[in-house]
Parts: sequence; structure tokens; C-alpha cells
Amino acid sequence: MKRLLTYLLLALLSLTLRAQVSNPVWFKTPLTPRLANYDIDAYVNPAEYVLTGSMKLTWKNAGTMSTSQFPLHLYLNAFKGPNSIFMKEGSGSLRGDQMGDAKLESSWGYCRLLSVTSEGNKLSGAYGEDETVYWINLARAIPPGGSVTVDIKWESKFPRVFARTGWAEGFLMAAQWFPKVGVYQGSKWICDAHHADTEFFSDFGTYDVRVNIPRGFWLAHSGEAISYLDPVDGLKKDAWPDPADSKRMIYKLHAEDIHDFAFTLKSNLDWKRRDFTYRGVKVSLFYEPRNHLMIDRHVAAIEASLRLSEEWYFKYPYPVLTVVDPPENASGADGMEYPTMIMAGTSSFDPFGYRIPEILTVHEFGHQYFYGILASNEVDEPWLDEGFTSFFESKAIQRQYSGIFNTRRFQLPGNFQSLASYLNTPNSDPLTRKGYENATYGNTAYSKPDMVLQQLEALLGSETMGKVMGGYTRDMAFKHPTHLDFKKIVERISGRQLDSFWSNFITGTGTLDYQIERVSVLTSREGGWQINEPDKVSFESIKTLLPEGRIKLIRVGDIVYPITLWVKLSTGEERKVRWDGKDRWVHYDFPAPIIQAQLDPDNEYPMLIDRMHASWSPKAPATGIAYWAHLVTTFLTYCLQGIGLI
Amino acid sequence: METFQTSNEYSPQGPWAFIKKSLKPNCSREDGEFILSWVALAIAGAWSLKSRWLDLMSYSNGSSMLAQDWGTRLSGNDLLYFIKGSPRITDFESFTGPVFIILTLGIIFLILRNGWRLQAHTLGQPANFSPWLKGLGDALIIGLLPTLLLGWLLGFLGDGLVWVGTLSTMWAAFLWGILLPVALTSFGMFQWSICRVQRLIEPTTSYFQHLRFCLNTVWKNLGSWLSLAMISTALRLVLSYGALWVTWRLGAGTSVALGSVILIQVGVTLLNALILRSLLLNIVHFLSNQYFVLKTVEDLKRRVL
Repeated sequence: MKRLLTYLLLALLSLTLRAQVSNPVWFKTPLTPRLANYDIDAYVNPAEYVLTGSMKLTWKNAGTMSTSQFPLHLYLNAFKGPNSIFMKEGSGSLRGDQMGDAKLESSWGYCRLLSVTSEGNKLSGAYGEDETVYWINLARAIPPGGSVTVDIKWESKFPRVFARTGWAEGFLMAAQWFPKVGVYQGSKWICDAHHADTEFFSDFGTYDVRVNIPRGFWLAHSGEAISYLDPVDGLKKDAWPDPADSKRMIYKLHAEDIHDFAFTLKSNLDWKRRDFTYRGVKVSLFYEPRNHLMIDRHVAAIEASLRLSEEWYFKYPYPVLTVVDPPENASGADGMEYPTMIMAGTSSFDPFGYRIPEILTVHEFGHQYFYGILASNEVDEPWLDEGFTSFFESKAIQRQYSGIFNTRRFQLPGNFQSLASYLNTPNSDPLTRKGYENATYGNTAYSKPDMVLQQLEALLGSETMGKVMGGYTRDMAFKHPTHLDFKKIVERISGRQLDSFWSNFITGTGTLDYQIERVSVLTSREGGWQINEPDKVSFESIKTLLPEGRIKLIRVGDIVYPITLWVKLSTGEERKVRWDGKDRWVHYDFPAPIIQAQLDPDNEYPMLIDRMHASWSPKAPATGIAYWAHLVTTFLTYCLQGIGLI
Repeated sequence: METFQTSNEYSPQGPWAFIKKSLKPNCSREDGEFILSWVALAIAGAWSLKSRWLDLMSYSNGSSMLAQDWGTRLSGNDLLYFIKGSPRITDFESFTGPVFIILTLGIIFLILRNGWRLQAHTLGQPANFSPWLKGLGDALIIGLLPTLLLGWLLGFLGDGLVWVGTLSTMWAAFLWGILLPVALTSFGMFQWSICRVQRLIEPTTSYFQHLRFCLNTVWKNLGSWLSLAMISTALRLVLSYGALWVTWRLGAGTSVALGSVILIQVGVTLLNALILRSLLLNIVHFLSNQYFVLKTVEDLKRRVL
């Protein structure tokens, strides 16, 4: 009995001594109106891939009308069975990853509401477009400016990971794991079903999340862990002991002014972690031990991203950033962004210096701005997050690494991927089309917008474009921007009216395509009968004049923009002319034969889709072609000699 | 005093024993044809590829200037413009041109044929198609599965290096990952060569005995054949990639630079062809020696009994 009392006293002492040491307040003045605030307790059973949770969701009505409806996203129901919109649209695959064996129940997942109450009332509701949206009927209407707290208990079962969230052996990616309220704008709720290609949209708020997990795991997460000083060893620790179960521990997490929350866990025996601070941001990098050779590259990419985003937009406002390199068997979880947390991805060795890990890290970091801070509707206008992020990525990769692949003779510029995808389907859907209605989502959401922003930069000049991007990001930070907000800001900062640019490149589907159709030599002659006065007629012998040059240009695409033509004449003279492009074709004559010609010599139009026929010379520049032909053929010859073809 | 037991001539010897003999230059027509066919592959292939690309660039009584800097630097974006801007490029064949494909396949056939002619000439026999083709079937029967198994086993070595996970072991694993499949293919070529030459040396033996002999010849000397394949492959790869590295650094900013690139590449093709020629002859010398020793032993046995 005495011993028991002593133990109890020691336990109490240890609890009182286990004093919290980190301050969870990020911003003394909130950066947002904090409309959706979550206080969550989550209990994770990684063996079953099940999470049970309870939360208090406090929501404020920032709309213009009262509402008694309260829609919740239950994203995990996208994986409930084959009849969800997500599964029908995506046929069980996403971004090249295929869902697990459909015959196994562990390949599927769900989010099941156990109870929903508010102010003592049990609330009922009904599913929306599909089971990924649940409309709750509140007991009272919430007026503009009013708020409501809803208590929700639920159970989430994770699918085998292929579309951002789920499990793989020894690993769990918990994304879209809790019921999340839609966005109320004006008098309308925006709470779309989970579609295959599109992502998410939600309001900013605070998150206080306690995640209860078994010992032996590491938790990588959004937000900041509230740590304590362990009275036993005096070390600062993030994982609090679970008073109810000695085999479990609790992470107490906090975040402010974010609009989503994710975490991932993996055994700490086969996971590595590197913590560092850069420009005041505490970065935690979790990675596979076998990928340790690539980690310095990740660190450099994160540092470059933090530096360049601060230079181009504004300082990353949160105190923490978590970067996770998911295991090889969970590739469906990589290349994804959550507020203050990004999922990167790498290989264990890269002998060629191909910047794939950097591209992924830089791209996902870019989403901290274009999605995380500028929280546009990713369903309706996916280009505002993916396209702007691709633009950030292209520029950052070019600036930091001089391209994706940079060798002495062969380079892949930062925008290579965007250009390749854009040239495949240059006249695809307008950028403003809803994500799930796009025929070519990858191009319309990622590549074409990147090219359009490069085009805008070429049009406005780098300096003005820098101001535009800085102005847009600062003005729209912690808001829900649309493309019209962007247009207003571009026009205000540049002082230019951009209706035609918008209708051509953003809401239109035309292409910018000019070609040199024909180059010819004109031979003109003079002489013949000369009748100068009625009574004076003479015959002058026919003489051939010096030859002249003629070039015919055509506009193949529908987009009309003035374009510059540069020519070099046989006399050595160089000339430039500007064609307004309004007609379908034009020809220009020059006093001597043309020996070289080029359209858009100053690269005013990154979106010019055909540069093959935008330049001309009478004889092909054969040296370079011969060089590459020899390299390719000798490579083939050496391969055959290598295998000892005898 | 040399006795029957100490004389090299009467003792079976491993494949390495004939390297010196195989390296001896010879100015036969067959030697020349084998070596020149390799050079032809490098030159004619490049010529046809260049012609095709120049053709694809041409339009309006002239040509695009897209490739004007390609001798010094080629941007991936230029390649995209080239591929997308040429409506005639629809697939791999249209990109390289049918001439390139036909020419390359034709010369590869010529190389194989000339290699066989060289071996048959060394044995003083006609280079018939029959043993050449049947030898290929034999090699597949006796060699394919064991070679794949060997590759699988040796592949573990590379995997092990990956798991050690230091920069040097990663590089070693990477280079091993290139060398191993290439050297094993070369090892497979040896087996084809052994089977066809054996058919020429001893055409009257039964099919089963022939297979058994070839199998023993390869797998009883596994270490020697494998090391010969590995070392000769490594040598060819070092020469080849050395040449590629030099020509990569040289570029072709001028016609002189382009000429140097071509000279270096042809030179290395020639050197590699000489190495391959010596391997062809090595197999002939090795099998001739085996045949000679076996026949001598059989004669002795017959005399004693």
C-alpha cells in the first residue's frame, strides 16, 4: 500500500513537473477572421488503419445571409466503394498511382459520422452530391456574424494509399481525415464533392489537435508540437505520455491561420529526421534512411524556396515547416501539400544531377503560398494554385539551378515540363474552367498557366511582373482569390488594360502561332517603250535590276498580337519590321535577297507554339545537327560493341 | 626436357591462354571486312540520321534556323519545337527515318555475318548459314536460363552495395548496374560463338553430345569466360564512354571541332572492333586446342587399348 502511494505521488509529481515549454501562440493579431476552428482529439490505430476522433468545430458566419445548413466534407468516403464520384471519374488511379487490390477491404476507406450535436441538440442531415459531402441541419439559423459550435464524433478508415491519403506497410498518411466544414460565401455554401482531379477549398482557422498514437512511431505533422521538459532525463520532448495507456503517447499540436491539417506516422526505427532553422523557420525533414545521400539537396531546395519566396512575395509567415519524403511503397502520398507541411519525394541516388527531387520540393513549397496562404478554390479554379505554383517552380529552378538538367551541351530549362505539356495540347480548355470539367487537367491546371504567366511577364517586363506577383500575393494573402482579383491587381500595378490578354490566354482557347511561309528572290527589270510626252517615244533596252528579297508571313493561330520580324540581307544589312498580325498573311519586300529571317527574335512570346517555322535560312545549319547525329549513332554503336556483338 | 605432360600443346587450356595469339594482327580480307563494318555502322548511321534531320528542318526552299546553336548547346525546348513543329514526325521511325533503321539493321547483320566469316576463315572452312543459325538456337537452349540465373545472383551484389548507402557504394552499384547486364550479354555472345564454332569443328557429333560439350566448355570454365567477358566489356566501355566524354567536351562549334569529334569516334569504334575481333579468334583458338587435345587423348587411348 505504501509502495502504491509512493508510486502515485511520483506519478503526480512527474505530471506536474512535465511542464509545457513551448508557447502555442503564433500570431498575437490573427492574420485571418478564423472562421473555422477545430479542437480535435484523434486516436490512431495504425494496425487497423483506423482513426477515431472527436472534435469541437466552431464556425463563424462571414456571409451575408443566415444559414441553418452546415455542410461537411467527408473526403475519405471517396474511397468507400466504386460508386463515389472520385472513383468513377478516376477509375481507381491518380497521378500514375493505382489503388490497391479492389478485392481487399483494406484497399478501401471511409469516414463515418458517429454523432453530431450542437448546443445540446442531436443533429441530423443527409448526403449531398455523393457521400463525400454531408449536409447537417442546424437547430437554429446562424445569422451573419454569428457563430456555432458543433461537436462531432467520427471514425475514419484509411484506404491503401494511392490518392494522397492512406496507408502503406509501416506508414500512414492522414490527409483529409476529419470532417471539414465547407466555405460560406455571400449566401451560398461551397462544398463540392471530392473529384478525381481537383483538390480542396476551406476556410482559415485555428487547429488544436491531439493525436494519440502507439509508442515507437514518429509523427510528422502540420502545425507545431507543444513540447515539455521530461523530468526524468531533462530533455525537451514532443510526445506526451498517454496517462491511460503506457504503450501510447500523445502529440499536442497547434496551428493558427491555416485551413487544413495533416499528419503522417512511421516507425522511428526506419525513419530519419533532420531539424534545422532557416530564416527563422524551424524545418523538420523526415526521410527514408536509404535516401540520406539526397537530403542535402532537399535542404538546399527548401532553403532556396524560403529565400526566393521571401524575395518575390513576402516572408513565409509560419514558424514551422515539415517536409516528408514518403517511403517508396507510399508514392501515392508524395508530391502533395498541406499547410506548413509538404510531401516531397526522392530516389536514393542520382548520378546525373536531374533535379526531380528539387522540383518536387520547390513545387510543394510553392503551394504554401498558392493554396496555403492564397486559399483559392482548387475545384473551380485549379490553375490559381497549381499554375501559379508551377510558375514559381519554373522560375525558382531556373534561378537556383539554371534549369532542370544542366550540362555543357544539353540543358532542360526550368519551364521544360510546362512547355512540353502545353505544346501537346495548346488549344485545350480555358484556364477558368472547373477542374473536373477539364479534358486535359494536367495542362490546363499546371502547364498552360505557367506558360501564360511567362507570357504575361514577357509582355509586362520582369520588373513589373515582379511587382505584380508581389502585389497579388500580399493583397490576397489569407483570402480566397479568384482570377478576377488577379486581373484587377495586374491592371492596377501595370497600368495596362488586359481584357484582350485575358480573353486570348485565360478565358480563351486560341494559340499564338506565326510562321514564315515563303522567302523568295524577286527579279525586276526595267526598260521598254518610254512615252514621256505624246510626241516623244523612245525604246530603252530591257535591263535586269539588282535582285530583291520578299518574305511572306502567315498567322496560323487565332490570337492576334503584333510580332517582330528580323531579317539579314545579302548585303549584310539587318532590318526589323513589326507586323500587327491582324490579317492572315502579309509580305514584306527588301532591297536585297534575304539570307536569314526570324520571327520574335527578342523572345517576346514564350507561348509562340511553332519556332521551327518562325526562322529561315537558305541552307540548314548542319554542323550542330551532324554533331548530334554522330553522338546518337556512336552511342548506339558503343552500346552494341559493349554487349560484344560478334 | 619437354614431355607429353609438360607440353602446353597437349594440355587443355583456359580461354585466357589464347589472348596473345588472338591479338596478333592479320591483314586478311575477313579481318578487314569485320572491322570496317563496325566503322560503317558509326559513319553511315550518323550520315543517314543527319540527312533525315536536315530534311525535317527544311521548308520553303530553305530551312529553319532552329539548329544554329546545336553544335555548342542544345536546349530541350528546341527539341520540343523540332518534334512538335515537324508534322512529318509521328513516331520513332519517322523521327530517325526509314533509311537509318534499314541501314543500321543491315550493317548489324553484316557485322554478325563478317564475324562468322572471320571465324570460319581462321578454321579454313566455308561460313555456312546453317551452323551459324543453329549455334544461336544451341546457345539459347544451354545458356539462356543459367545466364539469367547468374545475372540474378550477381545482381544481389549491386543491391547489397545500394543498401550500404555511402556515396562510393552507390556509385559502385550504379556502375555495376551498367557493367553487369552488358557483360552478361557479352557472355551470352560467347556462348553463341562457342556453339557455332564447335558445330564447324565437329559437325559429325550427335546433337546431344554437341550440347553437352558446349555446356561443359562454358560452365567448366565459368570463371575464365565470365572474367574475360567482364574485363573486355569494361575495357570497351571505358574506351567508348571516354570518347563520348571527350567529344561532349569538344562540342562542334566549328567544322574543325566536328571533324575531330568524328575522328575520335571512328578511332574508338575501330579499337573496339579490334578487341571484338580478338575475342572471336580467341574462341576459335580455344576450341581448336580443345579439339586437338581430345583427339590426341582419344588416339592415345586407342593405341594403348
